[in-house]
Amino acid sequence: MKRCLFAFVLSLVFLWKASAEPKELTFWITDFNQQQFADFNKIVVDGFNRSQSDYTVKASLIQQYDRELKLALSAGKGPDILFTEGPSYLVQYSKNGLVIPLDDYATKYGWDKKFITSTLNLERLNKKLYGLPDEYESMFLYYNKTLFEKNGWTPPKNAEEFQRIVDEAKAKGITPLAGGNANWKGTNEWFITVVLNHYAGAENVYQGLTGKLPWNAPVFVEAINLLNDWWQKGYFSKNYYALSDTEAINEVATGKAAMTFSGSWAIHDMTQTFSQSGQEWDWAPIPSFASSATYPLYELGIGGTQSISKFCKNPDGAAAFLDFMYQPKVFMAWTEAQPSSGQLLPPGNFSEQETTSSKLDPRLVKQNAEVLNCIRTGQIGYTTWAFWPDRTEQLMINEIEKVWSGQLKVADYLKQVNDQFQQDVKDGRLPPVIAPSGKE
Amino acid sequence: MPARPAGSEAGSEVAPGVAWPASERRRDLSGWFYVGPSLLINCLFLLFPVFATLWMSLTSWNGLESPQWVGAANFLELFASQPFWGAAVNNAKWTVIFLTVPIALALLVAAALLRVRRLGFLQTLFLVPYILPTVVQARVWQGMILNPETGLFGWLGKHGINIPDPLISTTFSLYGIAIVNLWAWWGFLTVIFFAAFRQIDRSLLEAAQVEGAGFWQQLIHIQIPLIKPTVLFMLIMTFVWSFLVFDYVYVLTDGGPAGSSEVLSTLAFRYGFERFEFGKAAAISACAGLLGMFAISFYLWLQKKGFER
Repeated sequence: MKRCLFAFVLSLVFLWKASAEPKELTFWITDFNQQQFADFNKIVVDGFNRSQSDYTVKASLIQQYDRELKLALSAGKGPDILFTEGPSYLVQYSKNGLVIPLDDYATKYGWDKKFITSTLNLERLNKKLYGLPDEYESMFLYYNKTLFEKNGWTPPKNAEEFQRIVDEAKAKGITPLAGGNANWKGTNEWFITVVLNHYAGAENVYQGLTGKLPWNAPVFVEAINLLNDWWQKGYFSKNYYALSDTEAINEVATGKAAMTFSGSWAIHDMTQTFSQSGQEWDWAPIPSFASSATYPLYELGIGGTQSISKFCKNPDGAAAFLDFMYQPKVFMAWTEAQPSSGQLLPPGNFSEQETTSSKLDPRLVKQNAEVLNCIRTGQIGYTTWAFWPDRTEQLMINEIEKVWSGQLKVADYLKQVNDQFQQDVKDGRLPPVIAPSGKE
Repeated sequence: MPARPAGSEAGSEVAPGVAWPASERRRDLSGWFYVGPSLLINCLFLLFPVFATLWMSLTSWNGLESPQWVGAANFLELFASQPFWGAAVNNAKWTVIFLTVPIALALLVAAALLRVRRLGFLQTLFLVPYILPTVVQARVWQGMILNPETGLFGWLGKHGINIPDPLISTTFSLYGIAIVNLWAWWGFLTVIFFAAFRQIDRSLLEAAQVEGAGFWQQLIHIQIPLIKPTVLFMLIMTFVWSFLVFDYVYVLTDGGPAGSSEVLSTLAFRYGFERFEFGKAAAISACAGLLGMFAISFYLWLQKKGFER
């Protein structure tokens, strides 16, 4: 009898112990270097683990993230907190029921008020919320300020001003536009994004994304023709295919090139390379190349989304972690730890006081402020990686090189793009889209 | 008629309906005992993936939803697409290059090495590139030699000697990659052929020399015919490996620029892990695999015909 009692008490102790143990939540991270990973662990993960005793988050750095994630999910495994590389990736998981709806948590934590509605709508499918926007991105014109001042140039606002600088730069043996895709083929789509938005214009792109205008319509043919002209006339770096994006930015830093079109992430390389060359840099909105495009216009890209996996055993804990991650004091501490990484803030309705820091590069702060303002007022353009279906995006990236090499005519290229887009729409791969007015 | 037991002589074939002798049965059983483990490993890690790939090639699967049976649609779509044939032609070019250049070079250098005394270290020297990891080789060539900004070619360009980087040319990118791969591969072949040449009875070569046969005559009429099995095996393996080339292309050009260096394996990777169309990726792999199987069957047929002798 005594033995039975002892065993009963012992099992109770074990049960109590097991229930008192914090439940583990897994989180996979990609595209961080070791320092960033360590900082993230210290500020975000450890911060959450210390803030409560019910859950412990364990973060892992994963290479080839998208592939690993798909393989894990197809085996019923994978991380509890599920990062995707943007709404076009999230839609595949939400469509297949691999992430859970977050609407109840959104009400509980007030996420629908915390985030800008239009950016939250990008993570909705059939009116259900499946993810939170991790950070936003946009495209800018980066230029060598020292070189511009020396030549009496000011950042161009329209096609004429742009052409004048390009012609003068060419005459002086300066590469007008630095670019390189040796380490990242996706560089090609940055330039496609630029001409589609700043030549064809956001309204036309929206018509294209909603199926009201085919991608081989004359306005898009003209836009891609413009990009092809730049290529054929040698405006881009001569060794585009041999240069990495960092090496391309170094051409701007050394004055070998005058400017480049790149995203918010380029601030990191701009800061590093210009500190070595001792010259000054700045950024400006991308010029409007036709009357169909407004100025200034900032493309919206959601660089990542956060969701909760269908296989997560503790979704309440995962939601608590997501809420912790998006508290201003947490993401500001994380952003301050990497002041020149070029990472913009989550697209939220945060006060200026909450998101201002003297530790951040003022040029990054200005980018944040201007892009956020455009998102709030709905004056946005569209990045190919956030609004196009993934297969169409890949085709655009790969086949544009055939246009540049003369193997493919612009009209044929856009016909291929349009055919693939229609197929992707049919297959339900089109991510949600926001109208230029800011509505879904 | 029952199959002839392993190891039995032609003359000891058992007549139909007659029981095999116990010793033969024991030999047969012990043969299976030895072959069994490797057969099991092959079935698990080779046959299963092969059949899984073949099955997958007949489906449409994005890695998340359940695979949908589409029959031969993946193959038909691929056969009608330019990128598939572009990649297949590049594989054919690659095969022709690797069946000729390194084999000829390696035979020549191996024969020359045979005549050089006290230079055995050259074998080691030739083998060094082969033992370097592929990514290291590729990065050294890409960044330190061919790169027009940071490499030797860039340095020469700054001193008035302009040599274009083949990797960024739509015409020469495939040949640029082939040069890097050849650099590593021909040394390995040289060592193999050198070892085979050393097995040849030296008296044969000495007799030929006495008869007045020169270097070329000895090489073509005596040495190469005597190592025909080795040469044939390496030719067949080169054919098979040339359809498996992936790493050099992926690291050096990723199939570009403009798809000019795309091969079947990188195209399969693109379909599989960029577009997540695993059915089409499997169909491309199945096509490449079938060509490899054809080469191996051809080799086995030649062996059966006694071509090697």
